[in-house]
Order: sequence, then structure tokens, then C-alpha cells
Amino acid sequence: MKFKLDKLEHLHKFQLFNKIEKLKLATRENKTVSSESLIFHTIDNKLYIYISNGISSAYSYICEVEDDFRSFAVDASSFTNALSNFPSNEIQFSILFDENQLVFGNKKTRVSLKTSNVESENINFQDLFLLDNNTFLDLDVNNLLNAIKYSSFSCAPDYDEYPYTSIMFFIKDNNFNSQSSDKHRISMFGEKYDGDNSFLISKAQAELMKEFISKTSSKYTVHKGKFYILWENGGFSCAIENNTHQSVYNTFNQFFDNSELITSFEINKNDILKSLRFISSISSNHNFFMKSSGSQLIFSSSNNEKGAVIDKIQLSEDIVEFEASYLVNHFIKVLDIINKDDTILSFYDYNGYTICIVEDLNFKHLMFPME
Amino acid sequence: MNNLIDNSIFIGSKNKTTDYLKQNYPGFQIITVDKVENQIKSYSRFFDSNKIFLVMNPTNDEIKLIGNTNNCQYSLFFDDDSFDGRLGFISKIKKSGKIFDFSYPLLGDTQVLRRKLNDFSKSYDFKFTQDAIDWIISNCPTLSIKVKSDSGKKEKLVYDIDLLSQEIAKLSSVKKELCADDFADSVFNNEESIFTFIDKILQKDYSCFEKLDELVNKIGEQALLLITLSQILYLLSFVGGKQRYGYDVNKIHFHICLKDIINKYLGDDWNELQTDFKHSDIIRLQIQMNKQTPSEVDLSKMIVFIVETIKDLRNSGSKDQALFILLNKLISV
Repeated sequence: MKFKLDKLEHLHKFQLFNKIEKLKLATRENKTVSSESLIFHTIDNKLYIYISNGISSAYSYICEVEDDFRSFAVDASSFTNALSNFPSNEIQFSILFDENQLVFGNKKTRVSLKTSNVESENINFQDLFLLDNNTFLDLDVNNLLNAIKYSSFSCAPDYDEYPYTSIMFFIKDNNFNSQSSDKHRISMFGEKYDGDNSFLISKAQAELMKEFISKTSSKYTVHKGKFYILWENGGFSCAIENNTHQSVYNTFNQFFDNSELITSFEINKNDILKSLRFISSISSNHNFFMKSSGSQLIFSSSNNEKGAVIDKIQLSEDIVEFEASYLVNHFIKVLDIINKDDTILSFYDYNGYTICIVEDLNFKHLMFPME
Repeated sequence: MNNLIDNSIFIGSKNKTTDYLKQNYPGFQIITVDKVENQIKSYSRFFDSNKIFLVMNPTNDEIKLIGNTNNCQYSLFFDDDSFDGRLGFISKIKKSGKIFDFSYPLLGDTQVLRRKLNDFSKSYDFKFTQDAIDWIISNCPTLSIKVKSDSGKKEKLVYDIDLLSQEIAKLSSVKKELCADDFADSVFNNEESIFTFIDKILQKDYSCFEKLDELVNKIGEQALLLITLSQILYLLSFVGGKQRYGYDVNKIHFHICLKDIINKYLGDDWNELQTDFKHSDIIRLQIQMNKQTPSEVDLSKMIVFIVETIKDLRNSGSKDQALFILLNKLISV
């Protein structure tokens, strides 16, 4: 059985699928019994590839094949590695079922990979293919991408406390709203959380999903603890967790609601970024100190070994005086991520602490002071 | 902000520790910490002020790190009391009297186990019949914990009071007097101990044959033979001490540690010798005092049988046959 593929056309697809495989190794201690994880499967003479790591899975259309095609599986990492390093663009594939081999190449170069047979009925395609009875809703791709973009960066690292390692999503009027926090900053995208039905997706899964979302018309559904996205000839699913930590997310609101405005002003984000990068490069301190004096905003940072640095930005008008210390990386990250050049920085008093809030359309970001 | 007085140390039972913290700090969340460094990095006064960080078996470096942070409330949990009391953070807790000992009773220490059963019956408000107490004493789930010793780490077998209390809590919710029959469905997983196995041999209990394969698979025949040999040599020394000093535990301990011989004489150069005494745990001795021990003659015969078996095995004897024959010989001594 043979088929031909254009490497440039399909390489990105295989590399994406390989990311699911890589995530399996990271999330599970023991490798599954069979390492042949990338499944080639046909439905009505259409060849699909399918991969699953137990948490997320995906399928995609590859090409038309002959009638007598039998399903088989190869090791995703070896296959992707061989394909991406293959010297020519047009590649002929041949499956030798009797010898359990997938041979691909051209007249000059050939690769042979070990395959394993896959019984069609054993392929766990149900989760993606057999969802006809479910109500799929039209997916606003940009909305979902923004929901991930504006929340994943402020998630806590994997070793940290749950649920801070995940992004909380809730869907209202077919719009995605998301929230995350690493306990030093809070990101909120979309509407205010009011105890709505919500679910959690780990940062790694959300980042993976972001790469899979097709810009073309897609639809989505949430069914039996999984989030599904389907598009023409392809689909992606990932496990979601019920949000049993409503109190944590209600606490987020409390910081926004129970704080009093000290001052707020418009400033060009590039000026701040330039200043922050400058002072942090000299002092190498993770924290910086920010204070206002009349119409000047003063940034300073010091390091016992390296010395101190100070920089000023002139504002258009006088502002109320305040002073606070924040993490340099957190400030740079949020300013990098927002779209508008002229951004509004607001400083609020929360129980004697000066918190900073940055807003951009549907996005609100709160940073807690470090000292 | 929490005061240092709230930091505490717990030893032994994890369940008891969390129960204590829940009872005494209502409204606080208990967070188990694996890596102190990560916890300190992620600590936020805005989110974590109502949390108690329960650090499991921290290393000395971790305790020093904890000592340098004064904004979180820590509870240190240790499997045993072998932590370093010289560390500043620990000595401060010692001074404040916040060390809680919930140690598991040592396997064989039935007096403490009986006391624990008495505590259970008071706290859950029910009674045990005598046969229930006897059943629990002979079938209590056991647990192996690693403790620090002079020569590294060693395993200690203890009664798993946590598991037992859960079972008793379930049963006592339906009955106010528990008899042995009530525990008929309670099958506890016991850590298969070489020492229980040796005890069974000494008591001529034929169930030791059932445990032989399991133990050989777990620790290997070499360890099985050498540990058995070492235990019987210990018993021989114990019986000798008992014959000489009667029931004076301290004197027998003195004898077993060879304190009556070591460093008594001068060396070749007429210098005083500074050799370490043989290490022996006095609790082990106290437990042995409550057990029946075979006579010196029987123990000597056993030693000969074991040494012969070791010789056979070294001369390419069959492991399966040699061990089976040895067990028969040991039981029939």
C-alpha cells in the first residue's frame, strides 16, 4: 500500500501531533506499553492521523488512500524526526504489513520504521468522531485565543499549589472568559466571575490547545469532562477539570472590589518598558521600586553588590503621590502582552498595600506589591 | 501575620497531626509541602495568610530556610524524633513547647497498643470485648518507617495506628461494643517482617512456611539467612545476660553492648583503648523480655543449622531445597 505526501504541506501537522506525544512523557512517569503512538487510520478511503496522550488527543486528515488500507501505528517522535530531517520535499510512503514496517523516501534516500498493527475497533476515536449527538457551538477562534493568551502567562508553575497552576474558564453567551493567578498577580479576561459554571485547564494543555486551534471555521463543545474543538477534517480534545475552587476565584474579585483608587494615569508602555529593561539590566534585581513625585514617575532598583540605578518618566500632569515595589518580569510581561501603546496604569490601596492594575479592553491585570 | 509561637513539630502519625491542626486552627487550610524552596518562592501574603504549611520530613537545609522566613506558619512533620535539636528554628519551637508526639507504637510493644485502644474507645465512645483486643494485638496492621541511626537509615516496624483507627471509626459508627467477629472482614496489609518470621520459627508456628517465598522474593536468601543468624546470635547473647543478671534490663543491656569487656584492658602499647561499644536498642531488649526465648542449647543448634545451610548454598546447593530443609530443622529444634 502506498501514498505520497508533500513534506512542507504536512510537516507542521506532524510536529504539532508530536507535541501531544511529548506531553505524554512529561505528564506520565511510565511510558505506555506500546510506544507506537501515532495512528494512521482510514475512514471511507480517507487517511487520518490520530494521537492521544490520555489527557489530550487530536486527529487530522492526511490524504486519499486505496481501498485495502489497514490501520497501523508508528512511534510519533521517530516518525516526526525522520520526516523533518528528510532531504527532499516529495516523499513516497509504503506500508509493508507482513514485515511491520513503514518505508518512506525516494529513489535516493529511504527510511524504515517499525509499525504495529491497530485493530480498527480498538482505536479510541469515539471521543472525537462519534460526537454527532452533541450540540456543537460556533467557536469564535480569536476570542478563545485571547482567553488563553491573556491568562496563561500568569499561571503558577507546575510544582505550585492547585488550582493556581491552571486557567479557569467560564463560557457566557458563547464567549470565553478566563482567569488565572500565581498568587503574585491576577489576570482576568472577559466578564467578572460570579460563581458561573466553570472548568479548569492546565497551562500546558491550554498552550497546546492554542496551537491546535484552526483559524478556519471551527466548532466546540464540552462533553463528559472533555473540551472538544472540531474543524473541517480535524479535531482536538483535552480533559478539563471541574472547578471546585470557586472561593479562590471569588477572592480574586475581592481585590478589585475592596480596594480604593490612589491614582490613575495614561502612559506610553514603551517608555516604561525601556526604563524597566534599563534599570533591571544594571541592578540585576528582580524587584524594582516605583514612586511618583509631582508629574514625574520614578523607577529605581538597587543591588548590594552592583549598585543602584534610577530613571524618571515625565507625565503630562501631576498625580497623587504613591510608592510601591513590584517584580520587573511581571511588569514587563503584562506590558508586552497588551495591544495598546498608550495604556492606563491604576494604583489602588488594598489594606495598606499599593496594588497596580493594568487594563486593556476585556483584560484586567492586577499586580501585588513585593514589599 | 502569624507569630512564631504557632510553628510546631509533629512526630509519628500523619492522621493525628492533621486532625490536631484542623481542631486547633479552624478556618485554616493545611497545605502539605514537598519542596520548601518552591513554597517560599510562591508564598503570597495576600493568599496564604490563612494556611498552615505542613512540611514532611524536612532536611536540615530546609529547616534553616524555614527559619529565615518569618511570615508563614509552619508545622514540621517527622516520622521519628531524630531531628537536629540544635537548629535555631527547632530550639525555638522546643522552648515554646509546641512539639507533639504522635509516634506509632513499636511492633511488639503491646502495652502502648493497648493504651491506644483505650484512647480510641474513649474518643469514639464504645467498648472493646477482650477477644477483640486480643485479635487486634495479633492482627494489627503494621507499617515500616525509615528512621535515622548512627550508621545511616534503618527500617523500624510499627503498628499502623492510622489505618486501625479508620477501621475502628467505621465499625464504632454502627456498634457500641466491638468483638473479634466484627473485625472478621478487616484484612490489613501487613509489612512482611523478617523478625515476625523469626518469631514464628521460634514459636514453632508452621505458618512461617507460607511466608518463606515472600520473604526470599523481597530480601533475597542471603539477607534472610544473615539476618536470621544475627537475630539468633542476639538472642543467644540476651539469654546469656538473662541467666547472669535475671530481670535487670539495664545490666543485660550492659552485657549485650559488651560494655563489660570493651575498653576494659589496655592495648599492646599499654594505652587505653577507645573502641565504640556495640550498639543495641534498649526498647528491643524490653520487648524481648516479654517474649519466650529458647534455651542457649537450642539457639546454638539453630546457629549450626544456619551456618551449614550457608555452606551448602555457597557450594552450589539448591536454594529452594536448602531453605525448606533448614526451616524444618529450625522448627524441630
